[in-house]
Amino acid sequence: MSRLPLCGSPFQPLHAVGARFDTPDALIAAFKRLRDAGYTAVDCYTPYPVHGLAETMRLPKSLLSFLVLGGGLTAIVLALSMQLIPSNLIYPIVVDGKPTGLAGLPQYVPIVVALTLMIGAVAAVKGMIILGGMPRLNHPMLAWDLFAKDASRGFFLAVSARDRNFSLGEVSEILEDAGAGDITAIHLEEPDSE
Amino acid sequence: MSASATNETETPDLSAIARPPQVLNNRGPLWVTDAVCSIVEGKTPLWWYAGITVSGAFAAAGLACILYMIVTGVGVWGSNSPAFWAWDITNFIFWVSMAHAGSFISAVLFLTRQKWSLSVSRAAEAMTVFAIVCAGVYPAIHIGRVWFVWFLFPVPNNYGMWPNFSSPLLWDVFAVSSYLTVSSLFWFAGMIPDLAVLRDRATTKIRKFCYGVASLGWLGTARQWRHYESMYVLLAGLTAVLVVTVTTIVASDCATSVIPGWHATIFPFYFMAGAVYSGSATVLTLLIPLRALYPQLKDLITPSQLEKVAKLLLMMGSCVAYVYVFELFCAWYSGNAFERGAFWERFHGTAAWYAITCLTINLTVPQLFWFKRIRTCLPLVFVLAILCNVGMWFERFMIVTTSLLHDFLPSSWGNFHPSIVDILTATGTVGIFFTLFLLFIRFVPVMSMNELKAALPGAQPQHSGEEH
Amino acid sequence: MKKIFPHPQRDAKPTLWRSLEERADTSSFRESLGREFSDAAAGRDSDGLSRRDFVRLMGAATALTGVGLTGCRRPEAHLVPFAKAAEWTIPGKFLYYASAMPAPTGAIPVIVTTSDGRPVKIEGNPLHPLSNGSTDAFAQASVLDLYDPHRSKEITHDSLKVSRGDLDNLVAKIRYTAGTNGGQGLAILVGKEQSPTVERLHAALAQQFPKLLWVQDEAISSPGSFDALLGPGARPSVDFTKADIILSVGADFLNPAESGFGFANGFAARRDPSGKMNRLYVAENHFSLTGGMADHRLRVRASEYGDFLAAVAAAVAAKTGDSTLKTLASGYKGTGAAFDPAWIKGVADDLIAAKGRGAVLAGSQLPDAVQALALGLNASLGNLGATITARQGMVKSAAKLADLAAAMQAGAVQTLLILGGNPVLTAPPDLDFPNLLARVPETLHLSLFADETSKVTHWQVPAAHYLESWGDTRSLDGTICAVQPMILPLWNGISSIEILAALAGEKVDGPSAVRATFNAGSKDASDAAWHSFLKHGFAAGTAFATAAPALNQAAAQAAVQSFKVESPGEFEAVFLRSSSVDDGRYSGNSWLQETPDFVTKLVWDNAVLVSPADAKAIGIHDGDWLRLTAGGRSVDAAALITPGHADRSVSIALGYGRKGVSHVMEKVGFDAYPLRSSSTICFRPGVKVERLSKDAYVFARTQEHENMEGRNIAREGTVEQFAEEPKFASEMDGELAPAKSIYPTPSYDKGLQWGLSIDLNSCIGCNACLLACRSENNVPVVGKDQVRKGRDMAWIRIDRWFASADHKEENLEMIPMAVMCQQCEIAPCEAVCPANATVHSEEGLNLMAYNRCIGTRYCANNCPWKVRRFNWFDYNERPLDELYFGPLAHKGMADSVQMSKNPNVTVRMRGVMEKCTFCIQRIEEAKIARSVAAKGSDVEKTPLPAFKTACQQACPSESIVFGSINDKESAVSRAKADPRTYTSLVHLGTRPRVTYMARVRNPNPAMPGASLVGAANRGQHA
Repeated sequence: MSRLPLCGSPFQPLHAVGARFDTPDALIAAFKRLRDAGYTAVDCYTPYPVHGLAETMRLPKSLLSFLVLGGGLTAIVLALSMQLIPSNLIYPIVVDGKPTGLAGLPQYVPIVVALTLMIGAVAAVKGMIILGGMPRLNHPMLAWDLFAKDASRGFFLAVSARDRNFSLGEVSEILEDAGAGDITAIHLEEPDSE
Repeated sequence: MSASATNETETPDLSAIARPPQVLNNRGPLWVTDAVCSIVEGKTPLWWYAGITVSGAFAAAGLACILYMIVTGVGVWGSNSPAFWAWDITNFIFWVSMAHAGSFISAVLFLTRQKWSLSVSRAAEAMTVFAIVCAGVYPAIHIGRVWFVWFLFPVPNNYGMWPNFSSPLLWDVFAVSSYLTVSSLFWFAGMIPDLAVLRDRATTKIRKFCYGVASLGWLGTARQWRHYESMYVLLAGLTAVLVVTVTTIVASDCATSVIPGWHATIFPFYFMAGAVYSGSATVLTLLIPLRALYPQLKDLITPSQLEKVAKLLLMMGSCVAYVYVFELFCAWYSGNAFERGAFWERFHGTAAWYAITCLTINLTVPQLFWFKRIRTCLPLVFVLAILCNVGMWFERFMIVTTSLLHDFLPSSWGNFHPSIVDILTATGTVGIFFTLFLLFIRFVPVMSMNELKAALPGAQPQHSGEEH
Repeated sequence: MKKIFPHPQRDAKPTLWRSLEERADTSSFRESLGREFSDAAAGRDSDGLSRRDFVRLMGAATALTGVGLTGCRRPEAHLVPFAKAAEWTIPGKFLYYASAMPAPTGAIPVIVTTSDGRPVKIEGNPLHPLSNGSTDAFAQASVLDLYDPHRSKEITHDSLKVSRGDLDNLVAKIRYTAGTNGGQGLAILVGKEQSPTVERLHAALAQQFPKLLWVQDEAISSPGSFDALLGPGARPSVDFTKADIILSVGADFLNPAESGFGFANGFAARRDPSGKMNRLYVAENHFSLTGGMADHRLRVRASEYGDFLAAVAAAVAAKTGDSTLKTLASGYKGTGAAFDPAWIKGVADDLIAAKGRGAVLAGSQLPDAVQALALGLNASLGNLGATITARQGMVKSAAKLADLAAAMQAGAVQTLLILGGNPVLTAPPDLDFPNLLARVPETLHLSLFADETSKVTHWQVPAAHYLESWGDTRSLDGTICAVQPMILPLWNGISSIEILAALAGEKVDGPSAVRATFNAGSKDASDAAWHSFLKHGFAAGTAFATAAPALNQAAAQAAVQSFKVESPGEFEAVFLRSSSVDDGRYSGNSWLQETPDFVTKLVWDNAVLVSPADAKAIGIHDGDWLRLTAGGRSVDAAALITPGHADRSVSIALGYGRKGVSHVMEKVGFDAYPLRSSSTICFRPGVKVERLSKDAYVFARTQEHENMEGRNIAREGTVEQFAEEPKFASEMDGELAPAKSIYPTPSYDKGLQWGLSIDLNSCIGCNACLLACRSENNVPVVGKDQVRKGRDMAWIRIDRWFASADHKEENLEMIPMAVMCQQCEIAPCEAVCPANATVHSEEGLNLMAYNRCIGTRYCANNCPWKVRRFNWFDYNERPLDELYFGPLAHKGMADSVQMSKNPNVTVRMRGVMEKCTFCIQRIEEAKIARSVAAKGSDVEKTPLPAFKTACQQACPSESIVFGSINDKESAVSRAKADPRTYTSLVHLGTRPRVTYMARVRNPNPAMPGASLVGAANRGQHA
């Protein structure tokens, strides 16, 4: 098992075993094999969204849309109160003889719409960033040079060493059978190194 | 990939109806990555320095004029009574409308799964953001007392006064700022994975750090991609709605007033059509030279895509033409002396040449795109696209100012002559726009690599469907 | 509050924006007060008078009263407040004093509003029999003259600054020499303002120095006089209340500056179609205010006025068989001009039909022969004594400028004191006055400004403004009015009375001189009488006796016979009294310079007015240069095509094109004086007009489009129309019915609801309201360049419409229409302001919160009447020639100009929108007074003290009515109930609080083109 090329510091605990595939099909196939072998802590890295991968991995549906809905609803409430309270309670004044209350609601709509869309959009992006585990400046996977340099060139797969029934041998065998290249044992890096 | 190639050759009958490929010469994903990144990573070409010097100079002159205007008074412009608004609001509407096409192309065409827009969308979004920046300059500075602009924001103050929420100008404040926010978010979020690619490929520490920070530590895990995709759909949806909303609100600046020539319910549609019209013209104006300057993009920005943009331009140009006719019809049909007078004077008054230029260009130029020969001759398209924007500028002026010049009481009719400050400020915004765009093509991927690669033939798994 | 940034003196030219000077040290100041005439300001070479110095002046003056120094020039020692009790002034409260503004054609009785000792506003004196509380434009603007930093400030002798003492010595010396030689070689030139004290002193002088040459003349005045025709000192006056048919030949009798303030009283009342309307025929060469009101107007060259009158006279004589008139008419050797016989017949028949109820008027400047014809007509029609009376006792005409010139020519003048006028500028060139003046050994000029004459006289003495000096003057009807100082002379001015008194050896002291005159003139010389004279501003019952005039037929015949008609030649040039600068005396007054001409709407310029036909013939457009040549002299000036102008005749206003006096007057118009000759004061026949190939001159006009384009903006009809359909005006709305609001709208039915009504039928477009508004509301002046750019700031403007149902010059009509903020209940401007800077008050006012305005200018765009004005630059704080310099421009307003501002109205800064608010400061003042009066009782129930808006107050014809429309009894409610009332642009549904009353004309069906009279809203379409 020491024939596996390794990266990071050998004196640090093993983080995961990584492998590289050329096509999304190979990646998915390998993933299925590992799953059948009972591995759960497996993650896939692709240069672009690969259709079906998420389904294969049985990832839950994204909650993002609910976040956006929430953001939008808050925005509506905020925008309406921001306009109705001053013009009716704090600073009521005759302008153009228009009603300021609900009778004059149409004049408040544009700002409500604008704010709703804005806050909705902010919620969407913020949500994506947080749910996606971002922002972070480093990641153990980046200790793996091949991955760090060429993430855009191939389809990568990593089996976490923290997986319940993790065995370095078995993992590398399965990966080799699945036709993976550059199977590497990824260790954590020295805390003090650079 | 070769497999998919053979597939196509086996079924020639399909090739007739087959959509033209998004990337020519069967380029692969690796090639796409290199091609796009090479613009950012390669050596800065000379023309780039030349370009940014010129545009920067114009921008500087414009900013100087704005400073002078602020310390001296709005009077340094040619604006007067009755033309209290002239080039300032004309340019505001011109730019903010141009912005719309960017969002339209990327958001609406994305939602409608128009793959041809993939290679265009990023540049279009950039154009949107920069155009909004240019537009945002004017509402901020055109007012008499810039230092009190905070009166526009609903913040508690010691006067105990609040803004007037029924004013279209206040709607503008919110519409434009939210439009700027959302479109920048849309643009930026779309770039995150590509920035990550640049981070990975970065050779110097500084680049690595900058792109690293910018890409927020994107890894491309399946989970990230899942959230990312749903975010993109949501954003696209919101942006699509926003485009229409913002145009409508800006149009209401005119439509809610009582001035003949402004006071018309068709204005939202009028502005929308004009917006996408001038915007797609700008996209062509930007992409055709870009493609020429970076040969590697020739396979990515394909003639067929540009032709589609040209068709979009033709369609919107025809909508605009329709509104011109409709406006005149309404004026006549209204039987209202003031309405009729306004449009009569528009073409007879002292500022008639603005309207005449506008109509001559906007009624003829886009119609040329009915002919495939013209539409596909890129240099010609480039020139015509510029013409279209000139025409649009004149249209904005025609709407905003010539309507003001001839309103109800002939006694207060007037004329307008731009001052040098007007002109330099206007060219200044153009300078700002191109400066920003040059920086954009130099420092971020000009097109969305991940979307392109995902759309390549054979990029997606063949049997993914079988699972569950 | 007020910041003063010191900056280097600008010696290049005098500017309106000078920094504060150091204060004079107190000792010298005390000493100066101790002297006869305060020297406080003259000691310093400052253009502006600092407010601190001013307050010190007043304060010290008060303080010193007790010490017993002669504070004789201190107003507060002698004045009695008009409206308030005789208590000492309350800071911030206005005090009102009665006074009068002397004018050559008759003084204007005024009430001066003073704030903390500063006169800030002029208003008419309603108590005066001749006044309805109104003023003319010049009176309104005279406040600025008082505070003008360009006023001459020090006595100079051969352009060396000398002291007051030196002047006293000079006068003493003159008196001594005159005493020795009986006034041989002493000549005094004064204006035609009638001042009893000056007359008294004149008499005294004449008695002491029999050989004294006393000259009284004006730049624009009648060449002859009525002394021969109507008897010595008699002047015709017309009772317009009795006159049904009026024929005016070149007589702009509605223009107070022309005919005298109050001359046209009663005319407006007779224009009300609900009563018996008079009918006005006008024959004139250019559109005048009177011509604009005409029911029938004929374009006649000035040199053919006589022919026209002769023709009418002949027609009348032919019908009535009046032989005297016949001979009179036939005696007139005219130019042989022919007129539309139908016209002549129509007028003649109408005049005959209205025997004893008509009036024929000839322009006051026209030659005696023409006057004789007019009077002959009146005599024959029995109008003399009926509608036309004669005011006796006018001063008999003294020697004229020509006589003076002759004496100077003969070397008979050693000493010349010019106490009025500016002869070097205004004297007809053929008199060669400047050179003659140079030959006089001792010359003195007393004037407000160092003008052309001051430059060449040996002595130049700053005159005291009428608001800072004692005097008395006669109004048109002869009533003696008090002229009281409101303030110490800002720059040490001296009044002519003082000089004359010194010369006559009297106590040199304004008040006592005036008091002496008063005592001599009135039966009751008690202090009480004197005080009521001052309090009311006039002495009741001192008006001239009026008598039925008897026309001296022989004299009339003689005048007509002897009159030699110059052939009019190809062109004639008519010299007009400018509606902005009069004869040039107001050239330095920027308020007036920026007030548009009645007809051309031209500001900061005059122009050669050319009829459209002539313009076509000569081949010129607006602004093209013309050279007018006559008598070997020529004038180059830009032309302006003026509808309704007589053909083969050009008109040009006098008093422009002055050079090297002050930079306010630089590059302003063209000097027409060189064209005049002593024999052709009013117009000059035989003028050569040629076109110059210079590039066109750009005029600054406040209104460039004069055609209503078929829109019913100003509405008019005829008496018949009015009789069959009184509501004809509002019916013109037609299908453009008022729009309904889909929203519930405020009812505005509680409390005070302000509204205003303008009667187009009596409005003559005389600009008085413009000036009143400018003065009341601190409206800034922007200068010619800015007006060219369309940035004038006037809150109320007078749109002047030309309308002609058949697009022909013959039937052209002029309709002035005053437009100010319409105070819409549903105001389009309010909805669009993002900052809530313009909002509505519960009293229905469209308020403007200047310090909330950020200047988006959207409100002005959305104003259908375009009555909002934007401060494109810092017009108040920066020199008008440095507007574009930004922060590099000099900052700050001359302190003396600051003193002229109304303290109750904000002075707006740049970047702020402004507009009419119905003089809200006056509204609030009245409401405060009411709350005080209420004394805790129900304020709502307490009646509001009477007050007027500035424009309403100034309007001579009372066309503007303001008040609460919620009070059904109020004048404004009654006006709005009038059937002629209509709302402009009513279809917009903005519910304006300003409404207009349509104009009604009274055509004579027998006249040619009668069907086209009052048809402004017919026939013409865009």
